Parts: sequence; structure tokens; C-alpha cells
Amino acid sequence: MLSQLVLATAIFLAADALRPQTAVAFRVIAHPSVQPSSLSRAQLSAIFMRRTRSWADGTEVRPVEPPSRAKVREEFSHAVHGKSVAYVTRYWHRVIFAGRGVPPEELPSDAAVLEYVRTHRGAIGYIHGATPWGEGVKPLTVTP
Amino acid sequence: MRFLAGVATVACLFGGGAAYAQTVPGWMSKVSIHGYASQAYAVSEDHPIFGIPTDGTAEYRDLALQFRYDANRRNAVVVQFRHERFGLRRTEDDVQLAWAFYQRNVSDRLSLKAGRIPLPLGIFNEAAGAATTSPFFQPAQEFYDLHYTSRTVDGVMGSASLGRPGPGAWSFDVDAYFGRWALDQWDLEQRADARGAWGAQVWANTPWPGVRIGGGAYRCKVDPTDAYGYGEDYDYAALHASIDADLDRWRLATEVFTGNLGEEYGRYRTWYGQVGFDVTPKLSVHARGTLARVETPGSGHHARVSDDLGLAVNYAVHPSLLFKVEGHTNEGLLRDDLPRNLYAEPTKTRYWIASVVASF
Repeated sequence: MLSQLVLATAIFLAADALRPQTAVAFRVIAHPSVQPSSLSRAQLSAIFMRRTRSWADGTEVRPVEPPSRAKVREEFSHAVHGKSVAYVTRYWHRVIFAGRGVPPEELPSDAAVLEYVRTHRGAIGYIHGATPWGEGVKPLTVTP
Repeated sequence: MRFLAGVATVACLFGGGAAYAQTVPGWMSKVSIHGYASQAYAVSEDHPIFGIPTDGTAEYRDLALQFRYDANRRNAVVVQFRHERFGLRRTEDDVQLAWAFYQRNVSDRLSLKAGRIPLPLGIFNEAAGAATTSPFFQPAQEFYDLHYTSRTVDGVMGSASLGRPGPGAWSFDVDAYFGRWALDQWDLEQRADARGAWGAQVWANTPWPGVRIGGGAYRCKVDPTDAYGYGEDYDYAALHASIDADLDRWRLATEVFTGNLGEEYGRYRTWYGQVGFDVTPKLSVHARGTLARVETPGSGHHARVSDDLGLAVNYAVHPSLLFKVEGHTNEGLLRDDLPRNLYAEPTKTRYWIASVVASF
């Protein structure tokens, strides 16, 4: 019985170690004023495609992203939008040059994303999963 | 001006993909600047077509610069300037005001625009020049032909988003507009005034990310009096439908347009289908077939305006910096060295375009 329990625990831990590839690949962070502590992938996608522009309390959503060449951008894009960065870039070119909107602001590093999110009410961004986020930002859980 | 265009091209090439929205103080933080530059060398083998001469031209380019001022979440002003050169084709001013409008966001889901507004028509009309969105130098010119439709509407437009946004669910983007525009006329410098135009377009975003289906229609009253001296307006009605699928490695697009200009001027019909495949993340191949016809019920004549088959290879250094090489065969009535004549015999040519496009 004990051996079966150890085996089951080992399998669970191994599965868990494999599973978080997307969970640790990027970390979604928000300004502490942002009320939700978790967002679904669809909600996140709508925020970063700028189809959701307000939080539930009416505060403006201010999304920011790492540069398009950053690896975390590709991982976020696949995990959240289900699409490549190239697709998202084409989408934004179509939106921009139709005069329909502009993409989230691009910042040059995780440190810049953290600083922006820390200092702007309603801000939301994402950083590499291994980057420590420190004080003044709120990590959000991403649900399927 | 050629120098300025060159400078803008170089600026776009080097700035493409590397430009970040800078954090700046005050009102400047509410301004965003975007642009694109598409520069080509083009040559046609048998006769000039789409402005491409038989001895080749590097005067084949399209540049735009856009300024957007988001005063706050509710109010924005957007202005886009454009510089175009298409070889032998009639040239406009060096730099034109492409469009300019004021936008009022009533809510996250509803906005109103007033001014000169990009006309929502199909996949490419609103951003027709933004060549990073198209694997060819230009979208199918027969579909977006300015004899039968317009890039912009001078008037007002309401836009609404319905349904749950984000992947995995159906959602709908609806635009309705009212205003006026002008149409090119075959063999005439004057453009025909199209008044009292009203129409709508709906895009259905499917639960499958990247797949959407659209359709729309408009009506207007066209006044060709100045050009023909007939002194009679005629009603013009157009319908269009689109399927656009941007999948992981495949890209598919097909659109159909029909414009009914009445008994005298006939009915214009055009269709194109386009398919692309990403061989690698940077290298892709594309094919496009286009048909355009004019039927004149008065005379019973069916004119084969264009049959165009194109193949293109794209190399994306970055999603915002693309090199394209394309070859086309065309048979039809679109040659540039003879007057346009619906009753002429269609003629054949092959034409080639090599281009580089950058956007930021």
C-alpha cells in the first residue's frame, strides 16, 4: 500500500514537474489596484488584443508587453492567444493601419514591465517566469 | 520629394520592429506614431499593366505615416498620410491625406467616428497599403478596384462588438456607415461623385482562433454628369463576402464582390482565392487566383476584365520586415497602353514584382 502511495505521489510530482511549462514560462502581473486574482486565457487574450478596455470597477486596463523578439512573448502568445507572434503582429498591422487602435505598449525588458505595472493604476503585464517580481505588483493566476 | 520618400523608407526599414512606444511625459505619451514603407521593382513582359512598364520601374512604392492622439479613453483623433507611386499609373500629389477622423468611444463595445474614415470592406480595404498584412505587393487589385469601390467614406460610422471577446467563442464586429465618396471612371480623369452612400459590414469571429467570416453591402447614388454629360444619376448597389483563415502554417483568404451599376453600365463581378503555407517560420509561399467580369445587360456583352494568377515567395526577417518576390500571368483588359475598352479582345502578359516592406 505504501509503495503504491509512493509510486502515485512520484507520478503526480513528475506530471506536475512537466505540466508547469506554460505556468513558469511567464508570470502575469498587475497593479495592486486590480481586483481579480485570476484570469482565464480568454480574458487575458481579450485584454492583450485590447478588446477589453476596462476592469469591472471601471478602471482603464493598461496592458504592457515585452518586446516582440523576447522569447516570453512567443510563449505567452501561443499559450494565451493560441497563435504565433507573427500572427499577432499581422493582426495589429491590420488594426493599426485601419485606424482602429494600437497594440499594448512594448517595453524593452522585464524590469521596465515591472516598473510600469508597479506605477500605473490598472496596469497588467507579463514577465519571464523566473524573474522575481518583488514588492508593489500583484501576481495573477491564469486559468484555462 | 523622392529624397523624402527615400528617407522615410530607410527610416522604416531600420525602425521596423525595433520601435518601442517611448515613455514620455505629458501629452506626448498620448500620441502614437506608426508607419509602413513598401518599395518595389516591377517589370511587365508584353504590355504595361497596373502601372508596370515593359522596361521596368523602381517608381513603385507605397508609404504611410499615421499619427494617433488618444486624448483619453473616450476620445481619439487619427490622421494618416500616404505617398504612392505605381509606375505609369496616374499619380496623385506627392503626399496625400489618406484619411482623418475623430473617434468617440461610447463604451468598450461601441464607438462612433466622423470625418474621412477607412471604408470597412473585406479583408484588406481599410489597411490596403499595409503590405505586411498581404503576402503580395498589393491585395487583389480587381477586388479593391477604385472604379467600383472606395478606400474611404466621408461621413459617419458606428462600430459595435458583440459576444464574448477572446478565443473559443463566437463574437461579431459590426460597422455601419453613411456618407459619400468618389469613384474612378474608365478613360476619364474626372471621378464620379457617389452620394448618399450607406452600408454595413459584419465580421463573425469563429471559436477557432484566426478564422473569421464576413459580409457587407452598400448603396449609393452615382453622379457621372460632369464626365459623360448624361445628366442622370444612377443607383449603385454592391455586395461583398469574405472568408479569412490565418492558421498555424496555412493562410487562406477568399472574397467575392459584385457591384450593380444598372442596365447601362452593367454589373461588375470579381472573386479571388489566396492560399499560403509557411515552409519555415521565416519562409512562406503563396498563390492567388483572381477573376473579374463585367456584364452589360443592355448589350448582352460579357467582358473578361481580368484573369490573374500569381505566385509569391515571402521571407520575413521579422514579422515587421518582409522581402517578397512574385510573378503573375494576366489576361484581360487592364493594359495601360491602350484606352480601356470593354469590347476589346483580352490580351496576355506576365509581370514580376520584387519588394521589401517594413512597418512600425
